[in-house]
Amino acid sequence: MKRFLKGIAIFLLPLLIFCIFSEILLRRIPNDYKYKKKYLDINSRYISTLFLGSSHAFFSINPDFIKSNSFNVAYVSQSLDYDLEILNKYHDKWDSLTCIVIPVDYFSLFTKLETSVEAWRIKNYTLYYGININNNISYYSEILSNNLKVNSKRLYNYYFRHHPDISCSMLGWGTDYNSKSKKDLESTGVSAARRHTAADDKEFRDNLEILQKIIDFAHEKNINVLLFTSPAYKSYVHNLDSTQLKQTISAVSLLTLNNNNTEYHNFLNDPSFNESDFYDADHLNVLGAKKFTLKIDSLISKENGSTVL
Amino acid sequence: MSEANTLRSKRLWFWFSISVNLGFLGVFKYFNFFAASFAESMSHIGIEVNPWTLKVILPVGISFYTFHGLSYVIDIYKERIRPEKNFIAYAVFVSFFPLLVAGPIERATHLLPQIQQRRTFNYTKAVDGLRQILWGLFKKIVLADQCAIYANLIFNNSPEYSGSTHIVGAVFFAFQIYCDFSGYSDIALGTARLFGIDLLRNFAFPYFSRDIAEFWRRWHISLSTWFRDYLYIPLGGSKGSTGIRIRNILIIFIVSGFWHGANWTFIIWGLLNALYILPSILSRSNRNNLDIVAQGKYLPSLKDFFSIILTFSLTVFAWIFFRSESLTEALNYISVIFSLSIFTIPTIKPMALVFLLIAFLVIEWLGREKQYALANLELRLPKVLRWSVYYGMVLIIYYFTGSAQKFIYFQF
Repeated sequence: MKRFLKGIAIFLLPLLIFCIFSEILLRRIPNDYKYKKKYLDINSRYISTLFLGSSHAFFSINPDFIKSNSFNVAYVSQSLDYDLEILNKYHDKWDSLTCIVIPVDYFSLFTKLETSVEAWRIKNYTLYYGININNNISYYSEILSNNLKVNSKRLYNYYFRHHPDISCSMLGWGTDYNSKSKKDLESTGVSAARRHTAADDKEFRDNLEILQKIIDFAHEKNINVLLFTSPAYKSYVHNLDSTQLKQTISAVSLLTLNNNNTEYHNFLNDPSFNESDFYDADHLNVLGAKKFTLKIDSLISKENGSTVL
Repeated sequence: MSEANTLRSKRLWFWFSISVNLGFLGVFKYFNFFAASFAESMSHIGIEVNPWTLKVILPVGISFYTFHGLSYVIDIYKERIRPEKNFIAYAVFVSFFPLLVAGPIERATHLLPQIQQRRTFNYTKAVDGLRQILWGLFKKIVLADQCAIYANLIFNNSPEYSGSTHIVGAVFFAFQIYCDFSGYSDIALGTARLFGIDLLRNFAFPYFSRDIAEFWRRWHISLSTWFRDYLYIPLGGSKGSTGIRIRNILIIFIVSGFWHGANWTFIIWGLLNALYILPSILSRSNRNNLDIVAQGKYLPSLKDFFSIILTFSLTVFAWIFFRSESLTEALNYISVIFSLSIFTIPTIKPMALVFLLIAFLVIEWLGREKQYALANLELRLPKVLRWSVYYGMVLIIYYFTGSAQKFIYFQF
């Protein structure tokens, strides 16, 4: 037995060293989460408009076009529970915050990051934001969250090609979806609608409660909440499940009725967005983001003009 | 049962035990199938029936441990073993964790004596166990899960692909199911070996079989021998008239198909295999290939090579029914294969995976005379090279990990 255990220890030692070394190198790579966390650490007191949410907000709202001091803290697959955690993490630092903007899209109330295929992203919140709402051990490590294929590519890109994992602007807006590299709007519409249609509504009640908590948080601090449904291309809209969509819209409408600090705007079928504004069927490109941000800005200005009761 | 005073009461206890075992399996696994089939057949004669169905989750591995338990009862009834009086030993036999969810289906005559005896740590066995676990993980994560990505893509979007791509999909599924199930078996056998227990071998390089009879001696061995010993032989086996022999073969293959699941696709899969094997049974040539192909040689003869290709092709064809959700889906899939689009170049051709599969086949071929491809590696390779192989495998596993698919046989 002793010989066996010794053999295993000797065999595992190089693997352990390899893992520790890789973990350290991976964590040193600058990334969007690290950047956003650092930005909030320094500037949260000065932010007056905060954009939360998933990729729809991350790529659609460019704070450069917002008149007030704003920051886009949204990210790919970021669900409402993580939005709330980010708000809570800086709860005593939102001195200037007057408006929180959150997308409530077709899937927002039906999914959570931890149950989605993008669950591997949870490690970014654990490691770089210090938000621990999932105790799975793999979410506490870079090497356990992604395979060697992904990690070796990241290591190569940063340490050999000097490309960091930063894909956002200084104010947190996602810059990857430029208008030149466009995807097929028809096929992405079908696939995204299929991907976003939930098999059940298990998460619905919980997500609605989380959204209410965000609104309550805002109410406590005299902050307005602007909820919106993002614009999408017709191939996406036509393939949505009408029950899921109706359930989402009526739930959000009810929230706005019950909370006087909250407003809701539905841009899903907004005719002012055409083919040239989309990167894929459910994400705006640079041009679309500018157009959309200006619309949001006018709504924020209007909302900030009114007082929270 | 063993203490029954009369043959009648012994039989009564025997059938009671069999009924309880099969009853659980029947209720959980087959009730809804029979109810739906009944309703469908009634609808053909114009009577609409809305049968009551069970809304329960099928217990993981129920088919495995039911058969595991049945073998114990039958062996006691046949007086091949004595009932186990030690509750702990019996409980370990019934619930030994490595084989609980997907086998191998053990026999009391094989496993119980190993549980009863005092075990001491065996270095060679433990090292071999770890090596088999590593090989099993490699097969599952690197090969089965990667093949699954393409097999699922093609099977789930069948109308979008050509006949040639459908063949690629079926071949990938053949490798997926083999690497998935034999990978699990390797992990189970290796884990048991760490505890000093040898489980029944479940796979013996089935895709190198030269005929279907040989394939069934090498594929899911613990199940096929179970059916042979507890169903085929009691029915008369290959003795008796031609009619009886045909009947027996049809029964065991259809039951084997049905064992996999309550779906017509599994029954047709079983029936197809029965049709494949019948000619060799009737001509009594089913035991022609009992040895290992090209034993002691590097390459097979041309005849063996073509026999292997033919057997593999027949197996792949049958897997289409196994993989499909319904008979209609299977028939549609096959109809695309036999269309003119078979002469086009496949649109899905993941070359990296193809090279991996070729490398895998080479390793399996070189190790085909062993219990599993990497067995006795210490006799074949020096330590430095051996450890390099292990490290290489660990890195490749880590490279591909993440697209985790459930073990196919967990559903049975």
